[in-house]
Amino acid sequence: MLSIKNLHAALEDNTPILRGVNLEVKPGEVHAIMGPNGAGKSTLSKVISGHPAYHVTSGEVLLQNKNILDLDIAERANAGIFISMQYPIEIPGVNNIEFLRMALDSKRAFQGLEKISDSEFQKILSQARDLLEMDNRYLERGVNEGFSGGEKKRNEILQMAILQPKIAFLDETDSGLDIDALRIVSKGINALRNAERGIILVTHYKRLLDYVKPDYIHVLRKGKIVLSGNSELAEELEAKGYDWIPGDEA
Amino acid sequence: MKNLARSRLANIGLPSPKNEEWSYFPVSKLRSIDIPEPIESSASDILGIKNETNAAALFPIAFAAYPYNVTINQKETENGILKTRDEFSHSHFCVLENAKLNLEITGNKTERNFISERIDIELKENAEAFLFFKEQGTNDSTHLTHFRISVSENAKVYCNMLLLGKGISRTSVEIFLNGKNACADYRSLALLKEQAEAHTHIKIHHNAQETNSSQFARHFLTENSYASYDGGVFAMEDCSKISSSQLVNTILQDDAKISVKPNLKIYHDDVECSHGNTCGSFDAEELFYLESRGIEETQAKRILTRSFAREIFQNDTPHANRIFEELSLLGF
Ligand SMILES: Nc1ncnc2c1ncn2[C@@H]1O[C@H](COP(=O)(O)OP(=O)(O)OP(=O)(O)O)[C@@H](O)[C@H]1O
Ligand SMILES: [Mg+2]
Repeated sequence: MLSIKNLHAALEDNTPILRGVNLEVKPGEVHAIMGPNGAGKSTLSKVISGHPAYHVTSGEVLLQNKNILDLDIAERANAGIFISMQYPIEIPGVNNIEFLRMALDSKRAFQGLEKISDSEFQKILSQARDLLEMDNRYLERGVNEGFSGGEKKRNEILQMAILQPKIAFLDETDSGLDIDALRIVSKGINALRNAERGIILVTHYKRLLDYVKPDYIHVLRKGKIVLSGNSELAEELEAKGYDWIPGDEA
Repeated sequence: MKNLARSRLANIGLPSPKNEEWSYFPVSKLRSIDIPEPIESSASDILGIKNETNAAALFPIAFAAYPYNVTINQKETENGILKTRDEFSHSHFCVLENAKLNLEITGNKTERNFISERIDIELKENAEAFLFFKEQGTNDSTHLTHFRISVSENAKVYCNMLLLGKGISRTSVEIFLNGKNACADYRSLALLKEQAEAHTHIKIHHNAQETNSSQFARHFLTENSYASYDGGVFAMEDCSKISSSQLVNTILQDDAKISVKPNLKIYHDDVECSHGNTCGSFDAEELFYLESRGIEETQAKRILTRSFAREIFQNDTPHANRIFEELSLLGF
């Protein structure tokens, strides 16, 4: 479903960040990406979604066999790519509910559907809200406005629940969550896990992977995947760290 | 009073580009104003004419046919719309103790190329004034508007300013906070395009302790438009516990320009005073966030300008409906 092939990407000043990432995510699979700070995990999510700070120097990203690197940011999103940001920003003055509705209508327009009706939207919104156990009063504010770190992460997964993407790239969604919030967010992710959707989880902690069991775990270091394994790898990484893994002489 | 103003004008002369207060303004637009010979006058100087340095404050008094005077009696509320009548006009509102004035100030259907208007507002103890001023010139118009507002103990003035259109405007606002707890809340939004120019001059005088002022101005400038914001705050030596803030945000597109000049003269230590000035294009991360959710770039920009414009004004001011209606008409 998502094929990342030998992906190289650099900053505006041509500093290379991704140095040949290969990753194949099939429908229904959950992949976890771990790795030290500064390895390029967030960069990978931003390159996939088309962030203007990075440019691809070689390689390709295919979604259902179609190259998405020529699409603009919104087109990629509407084609089914969703990223949950490590640091979701606040956009005060843009109402959360209106924003969700515009995002959903954009996707529908892309699919050739007409705008969503009030009642249908209310239904989708209240299902997502219940799933993430989020209070209405958050949604009536500006996008992430005044939200705590954990509330912002929850709001990201709420957006995922509403947009129903084909591929969700969740960047450290577990960081900053308290014990209850981690349980709720994990429950949300598990509910959104299905046979048609691929999920990529970036995390530093095994904790999240106990709740959301991945099919594969990869280690990204210095812009490359240097090790892949099954869900048992998490334990080994937690015990031994990353230094013992060979293979990143760039 | 007319003669007082005329002799003061003769004294200070027409604005020149060397005069700091007019440095951003195309003063050649005012060349055709004739200053008559000064005549002796014994009128009492209740409006500070003898020391006035702003010619835009003097033209309307010197040349208006007659002043328009309104008094709002104690505890009463007056809702009014003030439309520009003549080339030169002068209105004076006196809001007595515990009274309230809701005033919309707007142009007239018949467009004039040149307008010079002055509005005086005197707020007695516990009085409140909510002002909504809409400046909307046409291609060749030059509009000067001067507000002089005096605020007594516990009285408050709220100014909501909308600077639109295509012409050249200069809006000067001088506020005197004369009693304890006097408060001035100034908000303005300039949405300019083509060759439009909007020049704002603020002078807030904190003349008593525990007075409070805030200025929040935003500009969204496109094409060849130009705005300037000269924000003055003056606090006297013997005034403690004053708080004042000034925030100016600008989004520039195309060849638009802005000049911002904060002018803070604070002579007391016990003063909370902040000012900030940002200028730029759209926030790249905000745009990315919206686009990453499927909202295309042009729509995302529209959403961000709309929030940029609307955030200035508060939902609970008496003119909120009118303001947001105007913004909707403009597509914001
Ligand atoms: N826009 C940018 N400008 C400058 N440097 C950048 C930019 N984006 C990424 N980098 C650099 O690229 C490297 C990878 O950053 P990235 O955020 O992808 O790391 P990460 O693996 O997500 O780390 P963490 O675990 O700390 O979140 C870092 O060295 C970072 O400083
Ligand atoms: Mg990161």
